[in-house]
Amino acid sequence: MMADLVVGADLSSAWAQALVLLVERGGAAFNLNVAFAAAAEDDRTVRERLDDLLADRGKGTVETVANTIFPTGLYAPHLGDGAAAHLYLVHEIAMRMHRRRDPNDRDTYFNRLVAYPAKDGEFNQLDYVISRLRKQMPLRSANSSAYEIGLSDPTASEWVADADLRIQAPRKDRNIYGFPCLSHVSLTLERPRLHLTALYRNQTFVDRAYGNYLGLCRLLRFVCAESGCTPGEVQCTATHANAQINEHGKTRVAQLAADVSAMTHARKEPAHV
Amino acid sequence: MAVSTPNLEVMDVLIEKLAFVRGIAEDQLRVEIGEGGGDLEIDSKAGQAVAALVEIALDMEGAIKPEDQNRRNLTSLWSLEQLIRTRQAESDAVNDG
Repeated sequence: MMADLVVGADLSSAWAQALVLLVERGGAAFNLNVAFAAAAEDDRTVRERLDDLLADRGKGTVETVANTIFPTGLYAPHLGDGAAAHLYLVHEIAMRMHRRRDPNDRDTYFNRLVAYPAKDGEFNQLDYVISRLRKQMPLRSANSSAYEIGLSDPTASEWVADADLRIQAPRKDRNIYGFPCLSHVSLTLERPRLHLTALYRNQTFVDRAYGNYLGLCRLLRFVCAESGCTPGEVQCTATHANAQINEHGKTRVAQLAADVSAMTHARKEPAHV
Repeated sequence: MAVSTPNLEVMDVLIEKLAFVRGIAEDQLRVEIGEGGGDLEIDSKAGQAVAALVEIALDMEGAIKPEDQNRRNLTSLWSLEQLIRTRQAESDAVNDG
């Protein structure tokens, strides 16, 4: 058997369990599925433990990784009906600065969601999906499912999926090992709850997975806030999951897994009086 | 990067642009800055947007370099002000020369 399913109450405990599993497996797994509630806040002690290691290793923080999926600092929900448009505008301004960076770091996952490189120009998939969800939400027979990646083209005239967000661009993404590792995001409506499934072709569990989960939670919360849905579950499938033992060392990764596992277990157990 | 006292013109433009990015009034932002002892933590993405807007406002488009875009420079109002001033001075020196 290859596939694994890890379920946690929040992203911190799910990530900690997944990391422990990966260490036990020698550092890698295939078809690793990790699920957690999107509304639950993450455990800051777990995040700080990981951020400390990332800083020691010269890597970007959890927040930096999460920002590539959803730039939470640019979303101003207090603007009400104008909040999404403001986010898209300010994001576009930020991208002007971002594009000056390394040629290999000129795009982000969020940019693919709001400015997908289509044949006839950029296409805002997120705005389209939110509009569809707003129309579907009041319907008792609301569409629930998304289509498969092989069938979808977000700009095709016959595209009628209500919740299909494509990251990978077949005509543009030709680098086998580079961006994007996140290929596809699917949203499923179970009125009023909205669930998110993300597909990663390769996911690194020290450098990226925690920030990926945080960004996906924020993305789902944003879509829900804008469409009137309630955040449900995030499920993330890594077709290849990597604990990065070769890069960070077995002892360091194993100690991280043990520490965050202890932190999440301690939180579950009630304090003795 | 040289450390110096805040330049009021640059700081005013920074506050105006950050208020826009956050979708709040400048007065509200100034209260936050005051409560933070004269500085304010900024999200790095918001820092990128503010930097792009300030470049346009101060007529120094393209002055911020790729290597300037790190967490140290983009994640506080004070460090962003120092960065803008440094690049502004370089830009002025080139134009004067």
